[in-house]
Amino acid sequence: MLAVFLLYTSIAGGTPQLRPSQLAGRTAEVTIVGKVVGPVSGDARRAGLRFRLQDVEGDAKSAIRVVYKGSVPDMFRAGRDISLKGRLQGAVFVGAPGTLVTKCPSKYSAKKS
Amino acid sequence: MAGALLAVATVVVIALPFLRAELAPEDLDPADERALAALAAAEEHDRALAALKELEFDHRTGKVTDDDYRRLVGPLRRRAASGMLSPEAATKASMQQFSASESSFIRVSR
Amino acid sequence: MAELGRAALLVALGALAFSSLVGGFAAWSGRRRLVLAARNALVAAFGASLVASAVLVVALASRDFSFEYVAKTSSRDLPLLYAVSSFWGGQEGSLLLWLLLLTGFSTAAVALNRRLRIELLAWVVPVLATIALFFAALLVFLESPFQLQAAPADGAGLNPSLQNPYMLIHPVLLYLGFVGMSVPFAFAVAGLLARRTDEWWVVATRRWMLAAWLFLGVGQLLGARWAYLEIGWGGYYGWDPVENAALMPWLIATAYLHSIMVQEKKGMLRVWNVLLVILAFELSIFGTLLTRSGLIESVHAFARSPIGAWFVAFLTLTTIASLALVFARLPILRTQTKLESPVSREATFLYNNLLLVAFCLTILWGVIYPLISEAVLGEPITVSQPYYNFFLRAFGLPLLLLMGIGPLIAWRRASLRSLGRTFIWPFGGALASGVILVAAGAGSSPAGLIAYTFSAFVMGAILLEFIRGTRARAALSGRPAAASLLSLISLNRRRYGGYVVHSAVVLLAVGVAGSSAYQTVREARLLPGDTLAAADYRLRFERLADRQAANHKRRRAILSVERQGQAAGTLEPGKNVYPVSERQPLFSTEVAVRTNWLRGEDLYVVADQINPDGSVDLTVYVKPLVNLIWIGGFVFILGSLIALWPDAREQRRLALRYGEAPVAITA
Repeated sequence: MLAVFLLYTSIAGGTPQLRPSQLAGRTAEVTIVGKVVGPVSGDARRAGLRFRLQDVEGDAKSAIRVVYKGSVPDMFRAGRDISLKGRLQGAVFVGAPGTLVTKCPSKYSAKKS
Repeated sequence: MAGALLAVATVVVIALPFLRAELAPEDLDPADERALAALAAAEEHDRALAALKELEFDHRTGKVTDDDYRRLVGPLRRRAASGMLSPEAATKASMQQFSASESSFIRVSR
Repeated sequence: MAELGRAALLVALGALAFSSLVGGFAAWSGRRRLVLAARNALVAAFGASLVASAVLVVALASRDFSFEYVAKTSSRDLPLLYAVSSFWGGQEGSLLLWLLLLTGFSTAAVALNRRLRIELLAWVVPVLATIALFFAALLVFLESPFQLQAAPADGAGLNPSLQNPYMLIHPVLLYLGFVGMSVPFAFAVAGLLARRTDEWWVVATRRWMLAAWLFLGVGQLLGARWAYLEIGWGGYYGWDPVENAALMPWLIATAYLHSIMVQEKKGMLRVWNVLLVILAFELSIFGTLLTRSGLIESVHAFARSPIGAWFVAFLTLTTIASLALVFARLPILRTQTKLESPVSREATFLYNNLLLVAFCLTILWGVIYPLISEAVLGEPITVSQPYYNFFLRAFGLPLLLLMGIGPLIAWRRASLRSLGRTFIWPFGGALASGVILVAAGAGSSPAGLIAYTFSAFVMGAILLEFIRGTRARAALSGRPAAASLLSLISLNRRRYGGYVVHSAVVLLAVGVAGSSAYQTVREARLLPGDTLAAADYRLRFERLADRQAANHKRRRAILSVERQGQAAGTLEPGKNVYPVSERQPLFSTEVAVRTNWLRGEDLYVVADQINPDGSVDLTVYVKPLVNLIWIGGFVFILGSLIALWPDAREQRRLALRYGEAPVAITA
C-alpha cells in the first residue's frame, strides 16, 4: 500500500518547503516560507515586487532578496509571514506568479492570492 | 452565587434516578444468545421481504426482465415465507426473557 | 460574570467525568439507576455548556474587553451580528462551540432514542461523555474563554474579508457536520461494547449521519462561494489542508451512506461500516485539529500551541481503542455473505465505496506528506493543485459514471439482456451529447469532455428512473402523473432523495468542469479609455472612483461591459481601504462579478492593483457554467431533505424491533 502512495506522490511531484536560511545553493524549484522584511518596493505587475525574506523564527541575517511578479494578496506587508514558490537565480529568489500566499495571523487559514 | 446554584442543580439532576421510586428492576439484562439470534432472524426476514418488494418494483419498471423475474421470485418468496415463523418466535423469546427477569408489576409509561 | 462562565465549565467538566467514568461502570455492571444518572449527567453538562456559552455571548454583545477573548476577536465598531459570531472566531470560543454542540447533540440523541432498550443507551452515554470530556478539559485547563485582563480601549477587531454573511454561518455549519459525526460513532462503539451484532445502531443513526453530511457539504459550498467572491483568485477550492480537512470526512460519510444500504439489503459489510464510521469520526477530529493548530503548514506550530499535541494524543488513543475493539469483536461481526454478482447494484456500491475511500486516503496522504517527508527526508515537501487535480479526475470521473450505472442495475444480479435494455437510452443520449459537444469545441479539454458526457449519461439514467417509476406507480394506483410522482417519492424517500442528490452532484461536476477546463483568463494594465477583450466580452476602463463608506474607503475602477456588441452594464472591481489606528491600513480586494444566469456563466474581474498614475491592473476571467455549482448546492439540500424526511411507518417498525418491549425508561 505504501508503495502505491509513494507512486502517487511521484506522479504529481511535490516541492520542498524551505526557510530562507536553508536556501543557499539550491536552484531547483522550492517553496520558501518566511517573514517579509521591508522596504517593499517595485510593481508586481511590471518589473516585479522587491522585498527581503527572513526566517520566521530567525533574524535579519538570514534574509534573502526576493522578486515577485503576479497578484499580491491583500494581507501582504512587511512583517507578515508568507510562502512563495519559485527558484533561486543568482542571489535573488524569483517567485512564480500566483504562488504568493500570506499566512493569516488569526485562526483561519492562509489567504490565497 | 450563580455558579454554586448551577453546581447544586447539576448534582440534583444526576441524583434524580435514586431519589424517585423505581419501577423497573435494577439489573440490566444484556441481550442473550437466544434474543440476538431471534433478532438476527427477524432482520433476515425484513431483508427478504424488502428484496421481494424491490424485485417487484424493478420488474415493473423494466430493470428486470420477465425471465429473470421468474427465476428470482421463487427462492425469494420461499425465503420470506420461512422467515415468517421467526418474528413470532422472536417476540416469544423476548417476552420470555422479560417476564423471567421481572416482577409481575409492569407499567407502560411514556 | 467570567466567574460564572468558569464555574459553568467546571460543572460541565465534573458532570462529564461522572457520566464518562461512572456511566462506563454502570453499563459494564448493568446497574439501571446508575445508567440513568450518567445519562442525566450528560444532559446536565449540556445545561452547563449553555450557561457558559450565554456568558460568552453576553460578553461579546456588550463588548466587554475585560475578557481577553472578546478583545482579541472583536472591536467597538463591529456590527452586533459579527461581534457575536466572534464566539467561534478564535481558539477558545470554537472549542466551547464544539462542547456546546456535542453535549447538545448527545442530549438530543438520548432523547430521540428513549424508546431504545436501555442496555444499548447505557454504552452510548459514556462514549459521548468521554469525547465531550476531552473538550471540556481543554477548556478548563488550557484554553479558557474566560480569561480576564485590564480592559483595553478597543479590541483587535475582525479581518474585513471575514465580515460577510458567508463567514457567519460557514464555521457553524462545518461544526454541525463535524460534531454530528460523533453520534453515529458513539452508537457504533456502544454496539461493539455491548457485543451486539444487529443493525440497531445503523438504523438509529442513519439520519444523524445524513444530517451531518448535509451540514458538512453545505458548509463547504458556502466556504467555496466565500473564497470565490472574497479572496479574488478566481477559484473556489484550493486544496488547502484546511479545506481538505472538511472534504475528507465528507467523502467517508458519502461512502458510508451508500454501504449501509448494502448492509441493510444483504447483511454484509458490517465490519466495513463500523470502520467507516470510526474513520469519519477520527477525520472530523483531525479536521478540527488542522484548522486550529497550523499543524501542517509548519511543524513549529506545536511550539506555538500545546493544544495540537493534546489533539494528536486524543486522536491516537481513540483510534487505537476503537480499532482494538473492532478487532476483538471481529469473530461475531463477520458474516459469510458474499456478493452475488459483480454486476449488481451492491457491487456498484462497493466500487463507489472503494473509489471514495481511495480518494479520501489520497487527499490525506497529500495533507500529511509534508510531515512525513520532513521526518524521513529532513525537509518538508508539499504537494499542491496538480497532485489533487490528477486524482480528482482519476477517481471522480469513474465515480460520476457509477452514479449513472448504479440506478440502472437491479439489486442482486442483472442479466446482460436487461442491462442492454435499460442502458440504451442514457447511453445513446450521452453519445449524442458527446458529439454535439465536440462540434461545439469542447474537445479542447479531454477531461472536461469526459465529465460532460458522463454527466449526460447520469442525468439520462436519473430521468429514466423517475419516468419509469412514475409510470409504474400510475399503473398501480390509476392516478395522474403528478400525483403518482409525489407518492413515488414519498414512498421511496431514500431512493429518490438520493437521485436528486446525484443530480446535484452532476450539476457540480458540470460546473467544475466548465469553469476550470473551459475558462478564459486575460490580464492587462489599463489606462482610462483602454479596452480589454476576453471570450465574448469587451471591457472598457472608464475611470477611477473613490467613495467613503461607514468604516472604509472604496476605490473602484468603473468598467463598461459589452457582450457580442451589445451593451451589458458596468462592473466595478476595486479595493476597500480600512484605516486601522497606529498601523498600516487594511486592504481588501473587492471582486466584480457579472452573472449570466441563462448560460450559467460568470464574468469575473479582479483589480489586482490600482496604481498611482491612475492605471489599473486587471485580471479578467470568463467562467462558463460556474453557477451550476451553486445551483447544485440547492438541489443537494433538496435531495438530502427528501431522504431525511421522517417516515412514521418506518419509525414504528423499528421501535418495535429494537425498543423496550413492555417497560419504558423513567426518570
